Formats: sequence, C-alpha cells, structure tokens
Amino acid sequence: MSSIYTATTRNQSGNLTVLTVVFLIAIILPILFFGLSYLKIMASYQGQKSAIDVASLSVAQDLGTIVIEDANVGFISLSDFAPNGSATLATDGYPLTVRSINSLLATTRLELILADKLTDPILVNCANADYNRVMTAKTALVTALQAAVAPGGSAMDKDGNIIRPYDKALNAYNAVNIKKMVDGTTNIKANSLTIELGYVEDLVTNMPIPRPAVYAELSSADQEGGFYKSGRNIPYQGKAFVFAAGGNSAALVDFRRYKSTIAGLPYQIPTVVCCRAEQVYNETDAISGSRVRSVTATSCARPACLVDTKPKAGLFGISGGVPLNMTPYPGNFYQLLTHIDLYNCPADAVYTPINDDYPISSTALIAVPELSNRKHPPFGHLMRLAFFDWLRKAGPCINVSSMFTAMQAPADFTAVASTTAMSIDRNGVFTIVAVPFDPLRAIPASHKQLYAVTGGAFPSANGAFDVFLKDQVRNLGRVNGGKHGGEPLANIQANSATTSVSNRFDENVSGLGTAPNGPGGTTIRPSYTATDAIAVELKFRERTLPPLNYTP
Amino acid sequence: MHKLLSLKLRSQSGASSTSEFVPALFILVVLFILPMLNLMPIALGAGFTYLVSHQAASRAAGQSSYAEALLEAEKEVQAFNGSAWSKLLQMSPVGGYMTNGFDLYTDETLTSGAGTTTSYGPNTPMTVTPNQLANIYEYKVRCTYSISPFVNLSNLPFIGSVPGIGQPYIMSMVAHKAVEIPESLSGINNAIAFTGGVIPFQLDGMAGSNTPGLFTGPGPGLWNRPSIYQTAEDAGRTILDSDVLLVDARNKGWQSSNMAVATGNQIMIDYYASGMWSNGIDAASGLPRRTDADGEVGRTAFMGYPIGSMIGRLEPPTGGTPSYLKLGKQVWSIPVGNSTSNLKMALNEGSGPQLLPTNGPSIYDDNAGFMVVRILIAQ
Repeated sequence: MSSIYTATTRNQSGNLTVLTVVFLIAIILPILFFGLSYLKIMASYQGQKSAIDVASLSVAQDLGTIVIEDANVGFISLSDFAPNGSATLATDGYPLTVRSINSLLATTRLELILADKLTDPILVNCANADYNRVMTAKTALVTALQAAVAPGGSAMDKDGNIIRPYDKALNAYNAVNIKKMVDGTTNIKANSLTIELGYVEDLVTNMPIPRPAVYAELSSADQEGGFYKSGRNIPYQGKAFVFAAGGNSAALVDFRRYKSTIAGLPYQIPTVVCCRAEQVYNETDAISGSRVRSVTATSCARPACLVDTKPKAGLFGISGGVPLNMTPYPGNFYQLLTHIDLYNCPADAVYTPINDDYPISSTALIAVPELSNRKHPPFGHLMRLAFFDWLRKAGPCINVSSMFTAMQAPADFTAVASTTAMSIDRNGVFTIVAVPFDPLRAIPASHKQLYAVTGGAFPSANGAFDVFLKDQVRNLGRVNGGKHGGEPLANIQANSATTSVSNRFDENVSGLGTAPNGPGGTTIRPSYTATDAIAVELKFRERTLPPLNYTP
Repeated sequence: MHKLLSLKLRSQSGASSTSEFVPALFILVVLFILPMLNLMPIALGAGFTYLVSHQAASRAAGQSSYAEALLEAEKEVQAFNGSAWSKLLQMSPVGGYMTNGFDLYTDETLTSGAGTTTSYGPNTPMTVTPNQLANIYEYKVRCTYSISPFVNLSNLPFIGSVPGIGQPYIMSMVAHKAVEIPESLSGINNAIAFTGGVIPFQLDGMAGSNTPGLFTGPGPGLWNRPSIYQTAEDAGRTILDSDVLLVDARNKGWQSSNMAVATGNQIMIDYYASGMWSNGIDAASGLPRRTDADGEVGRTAFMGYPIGSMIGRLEPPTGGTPSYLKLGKQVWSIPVGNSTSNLKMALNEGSGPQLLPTNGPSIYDDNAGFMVVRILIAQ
C-alpha cells in the first residue's frame, strides 16, 4: 500500500514555483515590456511635444516684436511700442511710435463710427482714406510676418535687431532634450519643421472695443469682456474689420482648433503660429532589436501683442485769444469748431513745410485729398480735418462720451497768455486745460504736415485777425510724416536763427520757436511724456492797420 | 493505516489565527476600508465643487449684464450637474438659484481704508449705483452639493450617522472673479448695448456746408464771397497770388498791395467792412456816410465812380487809369499792358486819391473804418 500511495502522488514541492515562472514569462513580462515601451514612447512624445511647444512659443514671441515701416501709417507691428526704438528714429533724432495693426484697425473703425454718427462727410472721407491706408499696411504686415516665419526668413524689431523666427524656433526645438527616454538616437527630420500662420476662431484680443460700449456698434458675440474677438469680420458701414489674434503675452492655444484660413472672411490676417515637426527615433531594445519610427508633433500659439492704452495725442489747443467781437462768442470747443464765421472763411493757403519745420524751411501750397483735392477749402472743413487727425492720434482707447462732454464744457478762449486746450488722459478721458503760451516760443509748423491760414477772418478795432491752423499729426510716419513723423511737438525752444522765409501770410516768424532735435538712440520722444505737447493748434493773430505814411 | 490517516489530517497549527481572520477582516473592511473609500468622493467632490464655482464665476465675470451673468453661470453649473463626474460622485445640488446648487453674489469692496466688502445678492443685482473709482467689483459664486457616500453605511451602528460615511456630506465652496465689464453692473437686468450710441451734436454747424472742401451755399458770414477761390478754380483759372489787405478809408493816397499783376491776369476781389466804411459825415444827419465797396448809389466822385466805392489802379504806369472795384463785379480783367504792375487800392472820394500824398488836411480826414479785402490774382 505504501508503494501505491507513493506511485499515485507526486512531489508537491516546487510546482507552484514553476507555474509562477511560466506565468511571469508568458504573460507578465510581455505586458511589462509593452508597458515600458509604451511609457518610453509616451515620454519621448511628451518631450517632443514640449520641444514643439517651445518652438511655437518662440515664434509667437518673435512675431509680436517684428516691426515694418509703411509709408502712410509709419511703423507698424502686432504690438504697440512707445517711441523708444533705436531703429524707428525720425530725422529729428527721436524715435517714433510703433502702432499695432489691431490698434490701427480699431482706430479706423472708431473713426468710421464717429464720422457716421456725426453725419459728417468730411470725417467720412478721412476715415475712408485711413481705411485704405490701413488695409495696405495690413497687407504689408501680413506679408512680412509670413516671410519672416518661412525657413531662412528674417525681420527686424524696433531696435534694428534682426529676428529669425524660423532659426530661433529650430534652435529652441533642438535645445529640448528629447533623448532622455530614448534608447538610441533621435533627431528632428531634416526640413520637417514647418511654421504656418493661421487662426483659432474666436480668440479674444486685448484690443478694447470703443468706450462706452454703446458706441461700439457690434454684436455681443463680436466681443468678450469688452475686447474685440479675432478671426471674424466685425464690419461697420460696409467696411470689413478682422482683428489679429494676440494677447498680452505669447501663449499656447489648442492646436486641434487651428485653421489655416477661415472661410468667408473678407481678408486674412493670420497670426496664430502653428509649428509642426517630425522627430525620427532610431531605437534599439533587447527584444525587437533596432527600429526606426517617426512622430509628428504639432503646437499652436498666439502671439504677444502689447497694447499701449495710454493716448499720447498731445493737445488740441487754441492760442492767441479768440477775438472778443466774434459773434456769438464761442463758449466751448464745439461752438468754436462750428462757428459760422470761421467756417465761412476760405483758406487763403494750405501749406506744407518742404525741407524742415516752418519757418526754418519754406513752404509749398498743397491740395487736401480728403477735401476734394481743394487748395482753398472752407476753413471750417480744415478745422474738422485737424480735429479728426487729433482723434486718430489718440487711438482707439478714447472715451467717446467724455469727448462730447469736454467739447461742450465751458472753455475760456479769451486768454492770450495761455493756450486753452483739450487734453486726453491715460484713461482716454478728455479735459480742458490751459498751458502757458510764450509768444517767442510758439510752435513751428512741422515738416510735411499741414499749415493753413485764413486772412482777416475777424475784424478788430484796429485791424483784423488772421487764423492759423497747424496740424502736426496729419501725415504719419517717417516717410510721409517728415522730420517729426506726425508726432506732437513739445519742449519748443526760442528760435535764434534768422529766417529768410516769407509767405504772404507770415505768422510773426520770429516768434515761432524750434523743436529740438533728439540725441538718437533710444531716448524716448519728449511728446510721449510731456503734458503740453501740441498736436493741433488754432492760433488767432491780430494784424493792425498799416500806418498812414503822411500826416493828415 | 497509520500512514493513510496521517495523509488525511492536516496540521492544526494556525487554526486559531484563521478563525480570528474573518472578524478581523470584517472590522478592517467595515471600520477602515469602506469609510476610507467613502472619503475619496468627498475629496474629489471638494475639488469639483470649487472647480464649478470658479468656472461659473469666470463665465459670469465676462458678461455684459447681471442677467446674462446669472444665465451663463447657471449654464456652467448645469453642465457640471449633468456630467458623468457628478453622477459618479453622487453629487446633488443643494438649493441655490433654480435649485441648481449655486448662488451668485456681487461683492463691492472699498479700495481705501479697511477694504470693507459689501455683498449683494444672492441672484439679484446690485441695488446701488456702482462707483468704480472707489470700489472694486467681483462676482462671487457659492456652490453647494450633497455628496452621498460611495458605499452606504447608514445602517451601521456608531458610524452610520457620520456625514460622508453613513450620511450625505454637504459641501460648499466659494469662488471670486473680478467683474470684467463694470458697466454691466449699472445696467441692472439690462444687457449692455453695443450699438445705438447717440451723438449730442453735429460738427456741420451750417446747413449745406458738408460737401468736403467746397462752399455749397452763400451762407451767412463776414465775407461776401467766401467761395472766391472755388469760383476761380472751377472756372479753370490758376491762382497766381492772393492776399488779404486792410484798406484804410482815411488814406488819401493809394494803398499798395505789393501784388504783381501782369497782362492777361484777372483780379478777383472780396470785401467786408470792419464795422464801418464811411466817406465823411452827412451834413444833414451828422452821421457817417456808410457804404459798402460799391459806394453810394446816385452820388459819384472821381472818374464818375460812386462815392465811397473801392477803386484800384495798377502802377506802373504812374497815373494809370483807375478802375471801379465794384463788389458786385467779382472778376476784374485788367487793362491791356505789357509790364508787371503793382495793384493799389483806395476809397473813392472827391478828386480821388493822390498819387503822391503830402502832409496836410484832405477830404479823407473825416472818413472812418477800413475794408478787409481779399485779392486773388488769377490767370
């Protein structure tokens, strides 16, 4: 019996061990290997994703710094920049402001709204002309941005530094260590990095809509939180406005929502960066040996678009004292701008200083395109034109209600020793201010800007008043805007130079000062910080009867 | 046999521990594992409650009116309430706006002093006019959920009544978000209007003055012919020179304009009198004899032109024939000549202005006023 039991039973020890080993080898280990491989793939992809994210952010950051020069609107970019760029120097030695395309679009849209609501065809003409200029500038900027992000492409920033977004993105991509989790080697596939500009629909910009919102003339869906949305047409009066995507800083956006174009848009203004790169992995492992796989990763980012919300429009000032016998006597800016007698004077001359500021330079008579190309338009129309130019200079962040209030607020125009002016503070609020007027340091007429005069506009007891209009912000930029690029003038110095210039309607030439030249470099333009810089001046100058050359 | 029996019997060692294992396992599961399992949904629920509060506050903050803010916050909360996470965690909204488990408040905090916060609501707009200069405004969302235990232990003694283990746990979280459109606060229950702004005035102060660059009507004003340049340009003339002069009625000589006029040029003139343009005192009334540049009707003087009219002549030649620069005659074609001459002007009275005035009394002495004269030389 003993042997029978012995024969029918097996040794119990060790059976479970074998089973465990087999189980481990057959099931657990493959799972483990698969898990490890999967982990490596995922980790390497995350490394690659991180690299492509860095690349797209790098491009997005660069895009916001690219500056180009447009002959009509000056320096433009995706961002606003204060006038402190060493490559944006005007010939007066001070830098010029860089305006963002969104700022230009928002300003033009506001211009159209105001012009339409004021039912003023002069302002409508001005706004339409600005729209055409901005569209041209927009096209140039889009072309420049797309050229910059192409392989080997480059552009310049406001300080003249050469920016190579593609090269920088490639370097940034390669700088990220993707090899950490790779057994073998890995490299980006040659020429596989592509950078494209497109859209992510409905991204909110940081460009504020007109204030108060009731003047924004858009639907609630066109904005969010008081800011325009990008990538959609927000038209006004048949004019299309598409804002560029951008925020206060470069940021990643969902690449699954990326689109190369948005169908139905009247024009494209793509700014969302989409980077793609293919990474080749040459791997080896104990089981499968060597193998090659490639993975494409995508990342999208919106560019950094800085917004300068502080209007630096300078002053819209009235100097010299409005004649006391002007009837009815204007009690505020609105009454002055619409005064029937002032309107009913033809401009005897519309000048532009041709080589330098007047009176250093001589002047040439010009026609005004927005005023039917007339050389002698009604003076009231020129005043409205200058008022428009001043608002344009202030940009999109003005408070429209505040403007109406200030225009109807009491203003003392009788003062001869001070300039009574409308000013715009950092919140876009308009106020009436008085700044000292020095008859020996009156502002000159800026080079290539508008300088108009109507003679004998108002009688006085001993003569008549000539009225001079200096619009220093008519033509913008270094090309068309002359020496000061269409910036307000500040820090006027007495003019010690003897001038030989003489016009029929000279304005006490010796009393006109000079705007000092800057040192070059990055010294900020004085008018950006000054509180008394003048953008537009309407000056009343009395001319007395010539003496009789005999004794009665 | 002995061997056979020994095969059927197992060792008795450990039997006592095995018998203790079951109650020990029961105690472990009931008192520790299951309660711990029930605590997990509470931890997750806390996170989700705060998340939905934050999301709702964020959505509300960007809206243009309180009504929209409430609506959008409700949508956000409802989306969570219907989500799989809510079902998995057995989260049920407790009270709140439309029994969705949330309440929306508007917090007004003074920016100065102690920074006192006043809370308006829930779910009703502010009852005071917002003052953005003195306060900051935030939307506050409070979400409240009842989180049921993952495993219902309500029937167990002692722990059956513990919230979260045997009973639902009431979880409440608050999130704040700054109001992005402060104007929305003043539009109580009214959405911000993004259109329809009214302009309080027009810049076109005169009817018919709104064709850019052009005078389209006579219009009131000091000048009689403000469209003088426009007339010249529309007639195809080139304006060679222009000026505005003051011509003194008392001047017994010719006042030079210093404007050169050549053969083939035309002179265009507009005037207005500075208060008065008189040619002496009327003997009968004792008042100044006031006229415009056309002079007195029916009374003539030098060259047969009306007294008080504006006359002009070109020099050289010295002593050239004067012309009547009648206001009604805007375009004055100059006499044929070959030289460039200087245009001179004067009031017409007596035997006319002297070519070379000398000191001493004259008929011009009792005149008064002056004319403001716009002169265009055109071709």
